[in-house]
Amino acid sequence: MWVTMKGKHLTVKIDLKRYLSSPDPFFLVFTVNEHLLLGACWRGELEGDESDVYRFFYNLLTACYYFLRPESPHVQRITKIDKRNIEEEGFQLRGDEVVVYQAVERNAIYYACSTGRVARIYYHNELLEFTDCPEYMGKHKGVVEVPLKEFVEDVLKISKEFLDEYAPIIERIIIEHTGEPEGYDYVWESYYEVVELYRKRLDLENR
Amino acid sequence: MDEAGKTTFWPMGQRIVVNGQAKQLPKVFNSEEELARFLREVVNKALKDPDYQEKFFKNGVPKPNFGISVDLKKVGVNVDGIDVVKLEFKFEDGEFVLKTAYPTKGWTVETFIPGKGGWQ
Repeated sequence: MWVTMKGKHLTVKIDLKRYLSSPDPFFLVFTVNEHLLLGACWRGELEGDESDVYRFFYNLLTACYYFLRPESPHVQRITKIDKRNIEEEGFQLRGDEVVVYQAVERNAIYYACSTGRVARIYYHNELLEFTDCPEYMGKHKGVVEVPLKEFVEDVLKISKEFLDEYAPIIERIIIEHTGEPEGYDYVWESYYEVVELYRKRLDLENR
Repeated sequence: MDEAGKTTFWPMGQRIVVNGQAKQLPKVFNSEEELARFLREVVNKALKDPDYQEKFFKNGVPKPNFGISVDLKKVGVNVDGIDVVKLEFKFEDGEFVLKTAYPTKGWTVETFIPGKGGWQ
């Protein structure tokens, strides 16, 4: 059974019916507008990428945390490192990116960049290299832009929905298969960290 | 095998039968021990590289759950046919634990996609 968390631009689907005994046991599809960043398309149907779903949300929240703290020396170091990585990946930055963060997923890497106004996501979805769906052919590498504020709001909305409604179910499935809980307190912590930074940012803007 | 995932294999000379045809993977590692030694080397060298070190932490706090993509040339590990390795870590009981590792780029890296029905 696929469940969906949907924001204005970001959509995440997770299949609660299947579990693979591996470090990335769930199937997850991630889209930003019409761009498929994580997941595959075979015979006309979308299929999930193998995913550690807690890590997936932690990655998105970390991107927002970095977007909201561009002045932090750590974020500046990460940006410098990942600017090199993104160029080695064959992407051409436009030069106005102030934050660049490489998020590593099972069969995809995406680079969450911020210009301070816009969130620009460069992605390389390895599963799409082999797609047989015409609409995704040649779309394994791409870039998609959304207003920064809407990106952060979307990540907060879908993360909250995941944490409230689906993480407890995911945790039960993990316990059924491994005999022990995995725990996702750190995802909640990241969520509240971003909420707080976002509120501060709004206060500054409204002053 | 109707899960449409994608699998990359460590090239250890395996023979895999696909549609009745045997396919032999190149032999980069001769044994599991050799592969384990290689991974230990990659992890140790990545941990010594300041660029990768930075990725283990978020503002000085160990990241609980994350992946890194390691360019073997950059860390000075030379293995014919494997260029990039992905490593997944969790921070457990005060230390980083390697959960899984797989090759993603290099001429010996084969990809099997069950949903697509074959080797790519």
